[in-house]
Amino acid sequence: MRKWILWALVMVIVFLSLGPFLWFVDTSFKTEVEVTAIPPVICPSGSVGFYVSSIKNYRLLSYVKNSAIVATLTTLITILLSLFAGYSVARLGLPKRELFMKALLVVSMFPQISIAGPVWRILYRLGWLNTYQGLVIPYVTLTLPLGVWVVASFFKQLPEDLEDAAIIDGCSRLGALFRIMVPLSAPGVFTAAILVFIYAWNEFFFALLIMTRQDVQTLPVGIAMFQGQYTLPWGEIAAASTVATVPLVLLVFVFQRRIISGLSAGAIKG
Amino acid sequence: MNMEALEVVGIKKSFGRVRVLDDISFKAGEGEFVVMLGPSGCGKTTMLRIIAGLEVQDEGYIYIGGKEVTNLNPKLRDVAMVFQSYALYPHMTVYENMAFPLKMRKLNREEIKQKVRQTAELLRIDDLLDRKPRELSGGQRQRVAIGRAIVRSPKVFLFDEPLSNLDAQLRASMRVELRRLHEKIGSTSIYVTHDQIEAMTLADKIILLENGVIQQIGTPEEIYKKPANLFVATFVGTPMINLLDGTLILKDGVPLFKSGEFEIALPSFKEYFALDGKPVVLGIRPEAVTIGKGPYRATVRQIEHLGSEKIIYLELKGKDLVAKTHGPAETDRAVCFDFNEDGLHLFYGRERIERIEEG
Repeated sequence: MRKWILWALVMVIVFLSLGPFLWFVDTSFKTEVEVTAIPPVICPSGSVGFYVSSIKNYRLLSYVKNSAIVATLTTLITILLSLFAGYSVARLGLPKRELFMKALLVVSMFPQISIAGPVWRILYRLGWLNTYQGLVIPYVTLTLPLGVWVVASFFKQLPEDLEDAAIIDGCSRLGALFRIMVPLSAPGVFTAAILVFIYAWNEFFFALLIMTRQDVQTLPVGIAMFQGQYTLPWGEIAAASTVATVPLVLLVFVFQRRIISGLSAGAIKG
Repeated sequence: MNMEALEVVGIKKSFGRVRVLDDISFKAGEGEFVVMLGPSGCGKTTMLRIIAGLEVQDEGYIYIGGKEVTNLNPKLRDVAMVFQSYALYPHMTVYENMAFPLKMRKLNREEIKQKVRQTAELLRIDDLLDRKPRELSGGQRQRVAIGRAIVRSPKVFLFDEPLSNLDAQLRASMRVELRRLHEKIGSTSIYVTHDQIEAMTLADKIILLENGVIQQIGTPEEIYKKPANLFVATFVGTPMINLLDGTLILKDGVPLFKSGEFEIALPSFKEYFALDGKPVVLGIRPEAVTIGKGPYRATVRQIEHLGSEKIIYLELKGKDLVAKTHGPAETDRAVCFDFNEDGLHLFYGRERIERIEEG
């Protein structure tokens, strides 16, 4: 009996989280008529018309390209900086290390709106509005706390002897970092990288603020712009949303094992 | 020009306000096996890390092979280190672990392959080369860690309590093997341990440290037979040396140790004139108590059998005395015994008083 209740609860939760996603995937394969049919059509006819249309009429591929560039750059830069910062925090015995980590946490909790104005003014002065770096740099700022926290906690778990051994064996500190520490923290680094990537891929507010020209806009903003003053192209929006989601789902599936060990690592050893 | 394999001069080191090493100086000759022995927290590991270059001293100099290395970073010092935790790289195979230091020195692949093979055969781990460290037993990991150090033939080997993670039996056999390996390779080794048995069996020379100060430097025999002070006498030897507080009195020109009702004449101690009437401590090695016959009588309180020998807890006129002997004894019975004078040591303050013939 209790098992049944548990199962029912699980099903409800799964349905609530997956429901909207399944609905727009479903919708994206419908035809124009099926989308607005009442009662709703559950089984679509499998048309790819909306995909073609969103590429042809709504520049979907341009948005995908922009998102890919911005998210990849953000991830690379954030992770590289996190490795150095995390290493210094975990190993170099910096004074006021705890304060630094707490400050990072506080910074990461600022509501975006509170820094939107200054960020916009700075980028305006630099002439970086509507450029990739104009979006990547604020993203790096916002994701860096997460990256540093994850990487530092992984580095802290590695025995210091390993690094000492590497240094005696002839590595420089940087060599020990990249040959020994980073490979051994791969789950943590992957976890951080994927979380950062997802953030940059999904981010809407700054993207909307900074990218005002259509040719540099990212997916979330682009999809929002599908909606015209008098039109609501449900099918195209559903198709574009599917295209926006599938890479993330694949990414997470491919690295699933590593992410799970990454998320639970802190739980096993203090 | 100094050609000792390793020379340490006047090393001082503090962590914050705590002085962990105070004016440490010693030498290790070419091929010598030097053991730094001391209780945990005595600074021996810090000293080792300073020699390796992993820690920086506040004052003092280090020479390796006659060359000053005081301010050089570890990779330029030509030392190799074996860690207590083994510190094998978990993501590399045994072969890659052993090849790592050679790769860092930019040897070519053939040379690396040959050296790793040779070392692996020497340590009998050549069938494990493709395994990862987590697939190895403690003893095997230990061998790999040693292999990684040997493979580069460094000027000085540093060992940081390498056997303390092994079980007792394995530790004993690794100890023998380490000594054999040392004789085969003939390399200078500095070995840190808190285990006196390791120190006594492995060392050519023991450096005994307490609270960051050298207490005595000597061969295992010297350390045992002529302990410089109370600390050395109590730290080395099992069971621990018996200590009796008492007074030294001159009686007819012969020094007499008196502790309560217990008295013993000590004809072979010098400097006794100055010590007449002074409080001293008499140290009695357990094996210096010979049970069976003699002028002294005590009651047996407890017996521990160690196989070939036994440890007998005696009560001597209200004082405890531990003996290690082959002699016959029964619990709660009185026994006669005597002392072998070689195992008696007299201390004034902390320092040991030398005997006449040692003078």
